[in-house]
Amino acid sequence: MTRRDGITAVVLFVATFALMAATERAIGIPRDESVYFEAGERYAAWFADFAHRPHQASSRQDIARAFSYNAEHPVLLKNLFGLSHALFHNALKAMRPISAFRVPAWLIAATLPSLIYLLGVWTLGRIAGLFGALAFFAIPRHFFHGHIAAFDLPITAFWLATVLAFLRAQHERRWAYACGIAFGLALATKHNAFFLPLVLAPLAVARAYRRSAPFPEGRRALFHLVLSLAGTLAAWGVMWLSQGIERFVQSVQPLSPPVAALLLGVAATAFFHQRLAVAAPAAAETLLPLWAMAVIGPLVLYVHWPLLWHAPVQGIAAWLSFHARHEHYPWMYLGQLLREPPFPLAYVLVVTVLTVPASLSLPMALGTLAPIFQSLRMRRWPSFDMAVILANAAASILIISHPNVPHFGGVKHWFPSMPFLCLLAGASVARAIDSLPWPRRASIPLAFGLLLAPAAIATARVHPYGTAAYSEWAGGVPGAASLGMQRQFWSSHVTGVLPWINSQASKGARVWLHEVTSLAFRDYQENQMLRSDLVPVWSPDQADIVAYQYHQEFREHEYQTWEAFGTDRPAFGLYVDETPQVVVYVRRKP
Amino acid sequence: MVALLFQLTLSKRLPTDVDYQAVGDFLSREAHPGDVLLLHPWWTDRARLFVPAHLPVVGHLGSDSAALQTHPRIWLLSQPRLPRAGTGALKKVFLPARVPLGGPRSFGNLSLSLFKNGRAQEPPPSFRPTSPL
Repeated sequence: MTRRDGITAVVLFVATFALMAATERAIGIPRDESVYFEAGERYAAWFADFAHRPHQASSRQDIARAFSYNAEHPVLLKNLFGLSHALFHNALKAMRPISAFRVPAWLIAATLPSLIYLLGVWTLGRIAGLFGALAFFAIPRHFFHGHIAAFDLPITAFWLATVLAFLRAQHERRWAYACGIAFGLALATKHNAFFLPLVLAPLAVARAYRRSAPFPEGRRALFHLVLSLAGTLAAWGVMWLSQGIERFVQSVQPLSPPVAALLLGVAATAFFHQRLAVAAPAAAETLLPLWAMAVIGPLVLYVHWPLLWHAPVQGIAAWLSFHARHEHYPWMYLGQLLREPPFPLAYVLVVTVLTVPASLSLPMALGTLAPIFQSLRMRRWPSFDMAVILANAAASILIISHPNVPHFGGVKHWFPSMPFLCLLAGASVARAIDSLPWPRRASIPLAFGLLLAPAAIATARVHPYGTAAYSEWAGGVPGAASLGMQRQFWSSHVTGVLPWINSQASKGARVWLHEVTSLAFRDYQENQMLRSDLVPVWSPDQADIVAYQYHQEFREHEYQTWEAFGTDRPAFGLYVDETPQVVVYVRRKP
Repeated sequence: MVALLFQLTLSKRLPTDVDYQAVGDFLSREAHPGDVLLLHPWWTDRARLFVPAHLPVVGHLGSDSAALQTHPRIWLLSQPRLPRAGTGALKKVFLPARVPLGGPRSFGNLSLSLFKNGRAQEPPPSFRPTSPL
């Protein structure tokens, strides 16, 4: 990496942050975000309390009072949202409340292009890195999610940072610590992080296996090491399955079989790693980032989440058990309303193709398939770097593709795959540029412009309603509506009709903002986006004005509105490229 | 290039408020009691903002094949220039037993056609909503 690469990474970071800050105002408050705002405020209040009386604030009762709200996610991001709000809005009065909450999300999102670029510089080349960096936020849905105070882009950033550090640790030992810290931050962000070791560990072990080839003693030590790890996991698995999750969790005490198995496993692993380090040092170094992840990751998770301080195992079990039993929300897919598993196996792939602009999804496909075919043709494994990138590009997509995994939420659940796919797209673009007969100075801007411009136009066109975006493969937003795809989600598009409601509603009118949470209604009023005299109600029967969010699964709410208001004619609506998103009805005067 | 062309020309394929207003004015003059307006594609609900209140509007998932049996005449408001407009699929399910009454009229990117509904049925006298009880 050169000084120029460092400068490029900084410029990408600053430019992305500035872009997020400049375009954020129009984006509404998604349902989940309103909950995270509330959580952030509660947690920030706990921090203020902790600063004054740390002993009392650390008690089990005080922690539970503050952190039981939205306990289904770790608190790193919500802490940052709350503290940022306390600083930029409450203390400095520099921002409106919504923007103040969102600043940490923009900062973390802004690291993504820089990290993609650096990963490119260190693996597939500068042009690949630069294209991948620019492509990431040219995708309309990424651009939308980059603005909001949620976890989907932060977990993507920390996932990418972990992988980047993991790869660098193969060359420089100190990066192993960075890998552990990045993994800890990922764990402290969202439960997707639990899959990271499952992706990286087999690759690291395979590399260690190859590196230990000339050393039979080392290979034996590696075999025993893997056996120790597998044995520990198997012992925990058997205890879990035989007792059930709740009894197993209760059984994890200082002097108990699960802890004994864990300590035995750790001791055996450490012993065999030491032997490996003596017999085959290069192979042992390959595994260092894994050990850093195993030690630093859980430590960061524990320290950052006060709810774990008094009952770590129970807290983690409750967290994971919530997601293991997550309910399924209805979701439109190719004219079908998906309500429960099994979901179509091709869902994730199809939705990715239908939402990523064609000028980017095509290079992504070429960039992914080319190294695979090349390896097959040459009958040799791809390079370690390429294998890591390919594995991470596929991992989240494959995990969410499982027919029993909840499929709501648009594309955000497999975002951690996308930086790697963007980088692979960059690799295919770099190859295409090299094959052109013109000098690079001419062909790079031409290729970048032709491929990024359609995506950038689509992003600008759909902003701030990014959850409605569809690619050229779908026929854009209207084509996707005809295909029977989900029109929107999370209720943030309501901002498109708030100015009309503010100008037309009578004083004290009762307003039902369909699908908008009571917290978000309050936030819109506090942020002067909705008149403060308007009264929230929760059904058409109670309302003078209904802003109906067009979802196929909610059509009956629109029919109820027609019946309650005595008309099926709206007074106003938000239509994105002709598709109805939010339709406003006004009660007829008697 | 194709993607760029798609993005640059998409706006030109969409109807404007002026187009819709012209359709609304036309239907205010021409629609008869008992007529119905069918939207194609079914989700093009923006028309509801403009068409006269006395003219029922039908547009829901699967409405292309609806019999609309209480309506002897159907106004079909379609947007053939929309991506994936599905005009061919519409013809298969909509046209049987429907007879066009004149040619289609264009209002910008909107197309309006009138059909005699061969699937209409006279409701039995006892079920007529207007019958005195």
